[in-house]
Amino acid sequence: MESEEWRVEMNTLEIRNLCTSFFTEKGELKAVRDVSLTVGEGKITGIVGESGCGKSMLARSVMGLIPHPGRLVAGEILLNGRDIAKLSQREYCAVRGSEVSMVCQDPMTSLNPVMTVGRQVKEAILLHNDVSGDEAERRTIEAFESVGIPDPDKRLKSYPHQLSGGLRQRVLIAMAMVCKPKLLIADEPTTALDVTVEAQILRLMRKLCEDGTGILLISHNLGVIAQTCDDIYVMYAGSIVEHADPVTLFEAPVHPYTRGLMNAVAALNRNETVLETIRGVVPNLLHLPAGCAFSLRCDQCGKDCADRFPEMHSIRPGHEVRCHLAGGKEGA
Amino acid sequence: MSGILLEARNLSRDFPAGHQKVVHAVSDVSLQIGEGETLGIVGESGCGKSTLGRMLIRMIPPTSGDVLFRGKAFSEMKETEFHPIRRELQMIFQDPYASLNPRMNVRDIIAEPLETWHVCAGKEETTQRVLELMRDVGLPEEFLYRYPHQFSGGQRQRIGIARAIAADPSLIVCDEPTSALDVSVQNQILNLLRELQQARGLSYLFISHNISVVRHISDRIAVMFLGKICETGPTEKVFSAPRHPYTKFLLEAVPQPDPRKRTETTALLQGEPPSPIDPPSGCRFRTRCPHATERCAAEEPALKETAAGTEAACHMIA
Amino acid sequence: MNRKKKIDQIVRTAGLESQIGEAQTFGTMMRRMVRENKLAVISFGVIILFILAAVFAPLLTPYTYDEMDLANRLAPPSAAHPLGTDEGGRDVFTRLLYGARVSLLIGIVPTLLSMAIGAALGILAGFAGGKTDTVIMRIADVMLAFPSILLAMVLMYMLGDGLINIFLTLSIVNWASVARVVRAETLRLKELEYVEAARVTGVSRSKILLRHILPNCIPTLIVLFTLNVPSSILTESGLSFLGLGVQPPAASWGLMVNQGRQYLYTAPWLSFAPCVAIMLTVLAFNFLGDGLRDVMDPHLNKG
Repeated sequence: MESEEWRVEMNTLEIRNLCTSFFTEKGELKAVRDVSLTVGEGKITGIVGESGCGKSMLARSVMGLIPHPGRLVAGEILLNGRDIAKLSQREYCAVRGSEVSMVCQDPMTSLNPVMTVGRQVKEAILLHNDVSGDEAERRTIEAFESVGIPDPDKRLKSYPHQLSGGLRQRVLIAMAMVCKPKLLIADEPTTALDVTVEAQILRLMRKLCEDGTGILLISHNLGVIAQTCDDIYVMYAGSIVEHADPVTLFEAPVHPYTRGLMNAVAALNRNETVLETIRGVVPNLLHLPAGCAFSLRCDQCGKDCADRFPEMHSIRPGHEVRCHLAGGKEGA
Repeated sequence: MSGILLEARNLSRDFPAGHQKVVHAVSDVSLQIGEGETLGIVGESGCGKSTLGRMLIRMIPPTSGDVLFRGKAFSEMKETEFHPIRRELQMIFQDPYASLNPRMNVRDIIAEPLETWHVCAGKEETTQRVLELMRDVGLPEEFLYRYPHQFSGGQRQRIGIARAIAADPSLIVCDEPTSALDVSVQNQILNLLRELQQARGLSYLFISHNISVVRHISDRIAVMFLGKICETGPTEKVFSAPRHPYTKFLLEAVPQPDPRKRTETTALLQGEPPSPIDPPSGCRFRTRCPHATERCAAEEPALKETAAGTEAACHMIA
Repeated sequence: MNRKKKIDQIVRTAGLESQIGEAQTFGTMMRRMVRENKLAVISFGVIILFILAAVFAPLLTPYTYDEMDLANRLAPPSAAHPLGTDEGGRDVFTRLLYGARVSLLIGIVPTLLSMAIGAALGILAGFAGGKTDTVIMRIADVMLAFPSILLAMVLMYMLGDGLINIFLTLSIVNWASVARVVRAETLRLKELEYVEAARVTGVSRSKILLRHILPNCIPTLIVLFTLNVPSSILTESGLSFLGLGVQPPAASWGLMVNQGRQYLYTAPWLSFAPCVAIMLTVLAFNFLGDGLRDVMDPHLNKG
């Protein structure tokens, strides 16, 4: 729409009603169900959820890397206002790396073990930029410096196995940032790292935002999310169940799942004898109830919670919940 | 509680690393675990905690040093003499997917220790015992003949726990048992471990890199860095008043699930992690420590009592 | 049935069934193969067909394999003799069927024997390690360094004729490659966490071998079997071709190829028919082996 082009501040990423499904012989597995979210320019948006909630598949949908037999079924992915959901694989290749990049969980398997790290990053540059080999090398050294790799010119010649986990992750971030993408997707970037290294990487991510890059940070670690994000979405069984700013989400969560998570983490930190849990297990995405996916585990489950799929209600600007019980009410 | 169940004396373990190099995985570690007690070992990757755990139950032989179980030394026991003690020392593993044989059903997995130690007198009785154990760990009876792939991560971990307690051990080494689990499931497993400890008088050696988890479950704690213990003591004392610089860094680095406490001013560790093949001389932590002095390079600090009632290995502590 | 349905329902609604992984039982793997790999299924059918033809040979042909008809030598294919006759007037089709018995038997039995020997030594080497491993593997290396045909020839020369000697020869020639593969599997399995768990539990080494390691070697062994049978058949064909294997008037496919050599331009069907038979059998076993490996290899199964 024309009015959007006149806005000074445009969202780096805007996902509208995204649906990704896997068409297996056992039926349709709805990995991402009607997800809408935004990542502002220079902001870090967090997606928090446990295993099986679909957050990784969401990331791959944005990158256009959905594995077979999955497919993006519906929705729009607006990257700087341009819908990339409908691009062909060839067109997507031009977008990946230069406009949107991704950093994954395990730095060891994301790097080619028989190529020096310098060469791998140079490759990324040469793929999207028509520059000479020397210029690419100069940019690589610059990128290594900006992510805090000591002795960058020497490190160019190192192989992945010669580097520590933290350094490898920095190399991956350098590789992702070297073409200056507007959006960086970080899928569990610090899960495989030690806690002292994690702190350094998180600080680096906050620094990247200062240059205007938007970051979509995916994690199951509530501590990581709390410390880095400007805006948080909670995911469960493929859908967003709550969206709020960090302070609201941690102090006054509304959705029963979010509250269960917060209670579980808080109990651990408060050092209570008996820890709070969420009873039951994450549901099988092939056999979801017709209504709310959390209904089987929810202790406030109402009469028709399992029959009607709840819509997102806005409790306050910037705070939305997908729950029948929270429609229009603040807290429950 | 009562006596000392398991004791490590000056345990060391080296691994060959090619080109005549040696990885000093564990160096001169001594510790004690009492009956019914939980000792937590916390440290980052490469600190040697897993190797230490395995030496304590004689899965790996030490390069030097000794382990004593109820006062009897491992070094003085041959395999056959040690065999009955094997029953008393069990382990729970980190990866719930890899630690169960995918071709065995739940009954057979849990029955294996019962059959090995001849706990029951026949197949029927064994099956009954397996059902009891499943109830104790919170697994529904209906899943007796199911296979591991049909369970979630948390439930597979319960199967592993049932297997570990089946023959009534005295001590269980828990090697990162909740690291691969989600938060809500992790809490369930921690609750279960605590219940079992109270019901059966078990001792735990709880190894983890997750500080909140270790803090919750341990009575006493030992912080490891590059193969050595740098601080040890009662859990709350160590965590509320850490003395060793590494312990302080570790605690500060944990991202708190509280957005109001954004620690922008955290001092971060300097440099790169040192290598266990060629550890720094003197204090192994000195290359990353902002307070290092010449003495730290020349002389290795020994564990000393601190004012807080803990022990720490650092020259800087009064 | 009712109780099973109820349990299945509980399992499903509680979300306990793994979404991506699948049971690694024999039944599900076979079903997958049937669904996905038609070539493997056809190959299996061909093999069964050949085996049945060999078993029921007397019912399928009025002649016997050594029934001579000198008036009718080297006759081209006709109604009475669908594949013609050889230099002794014997029906080629009949000899093909009876030859199938010999060739298939020689394909299967020595392979079973060599697999038994190779698997036993391979598991022993992998599990025991140390000197046992070194000794067994060095012997295997020596065996593998010899060209197999040469070794087979030497052994046949030493042992003399006879089916049993052929079996022995082929077993000895082939066990080493099996041992190598099984040893590698064993080494990999030994390091798995559930094997470590069994050691912690206190399970004896022999029980660990039998209960944890051997069952997981079976898929590899099955695939190896289907891939080694053709090798045995071809080796036998080679030996018979060289005059060292089966002796006339008995029939084997290799022998038939050899006997037909002199008449290659005048009566090509004599060599052609057994050649095609060998080729089809070898291909069938290979395709079946590939199909089995595709469904059984755990590395390929990650969804």
